[in-house]
Amino acid sequence: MKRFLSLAFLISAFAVNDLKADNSDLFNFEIDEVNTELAQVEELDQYLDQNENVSFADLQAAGSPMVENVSDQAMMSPAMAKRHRVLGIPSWIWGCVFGVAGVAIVYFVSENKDETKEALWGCVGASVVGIILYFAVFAAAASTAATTI
Amino acid sequence: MKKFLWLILISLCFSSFTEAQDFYRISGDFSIKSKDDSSFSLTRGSFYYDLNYRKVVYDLNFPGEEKWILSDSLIFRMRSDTLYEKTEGASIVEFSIFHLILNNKLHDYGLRESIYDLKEVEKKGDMVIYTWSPPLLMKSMLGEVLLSQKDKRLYGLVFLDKDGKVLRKQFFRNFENVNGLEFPTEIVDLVYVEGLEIVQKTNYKNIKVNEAGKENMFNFPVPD
Repeated sequence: MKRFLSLAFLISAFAVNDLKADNSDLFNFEIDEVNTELAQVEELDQYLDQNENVSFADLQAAGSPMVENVSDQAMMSPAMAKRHRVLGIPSWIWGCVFGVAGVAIVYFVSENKDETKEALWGCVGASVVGIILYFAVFAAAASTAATTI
Repeated sequence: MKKFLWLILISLCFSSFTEAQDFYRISGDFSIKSKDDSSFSLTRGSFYYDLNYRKVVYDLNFPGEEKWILSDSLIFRMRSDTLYEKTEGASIVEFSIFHLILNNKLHDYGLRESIYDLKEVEKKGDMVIYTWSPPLLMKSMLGEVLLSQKDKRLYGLVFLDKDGKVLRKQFFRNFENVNGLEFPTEIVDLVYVEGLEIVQKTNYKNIKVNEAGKENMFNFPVPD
């Protein structure tokens, strides 16, 4: 009985250790993988170390591949990447679907000028498409009426 | 009498030495590189922090020139000295690494003085892992924070949600001793948001401690 209890104790101790092993696994990470992921901006960073007065606009105007897929907005915290999206929906959709009301929602909720601008472009785009469709339908209706007469 | 004078001289020397260990301001250059699903970002500039003013000031020069001022609960973005954006946040300055480093609290990330309670300490290989638990009343909203140390220095942080899912991992690397102050010159962030992993690496260089002057930057005026 004593042996059985000792064995049970040992097994339970191992089981607890196994559960705790997960915690240290959470701290495993490979810096090489991070460096590979960020290789493009790493190159840009090193280039700027040598050429401090070169701006993003200069590189963009020169068609530099170093700024391809690189945002022209500053990002200080990774939480910012999706922070400004209202309910996680892209701002242009708010403007496109809800018009001026959508732009107002984005403006007051996100409090971000870039997101508001994106919502405004969505609103303008939807309005232009609406006007084109209106005239297309109007022209089609007019031509149908003319044919009937 | 001679002995007494020597004693006074030695004690004066010792007091000036201990005063020299008081760190109150820090500045330097930084670069933040990040990648989300398809796009990259690079942000470069200088940072300024003074314990007396409690404002983190970032003077950015890439991708564009702008200033970010982090106060106790607000973030101000300035472009050409005009307010561009104002965002609310909570206790941003208290948990900035500059505040923690100057207050010698980086090793526990200031958690000892936060609302979190120390639940467990365990040694795993060369790491000591601390599990910090939110107060009972907030367990329905907040998850645990795991903190690991290597050689008594902060190594990693893992933020979990209330269901134990990883929200964010942070790793502190390449510590440099600047005039007696330990500073991690590389911080890696892995953030999991909306099913996406955002990778970010921050590098610091040209770090200066207790630098005189540049009051206009350390105490950059916050807009009304």
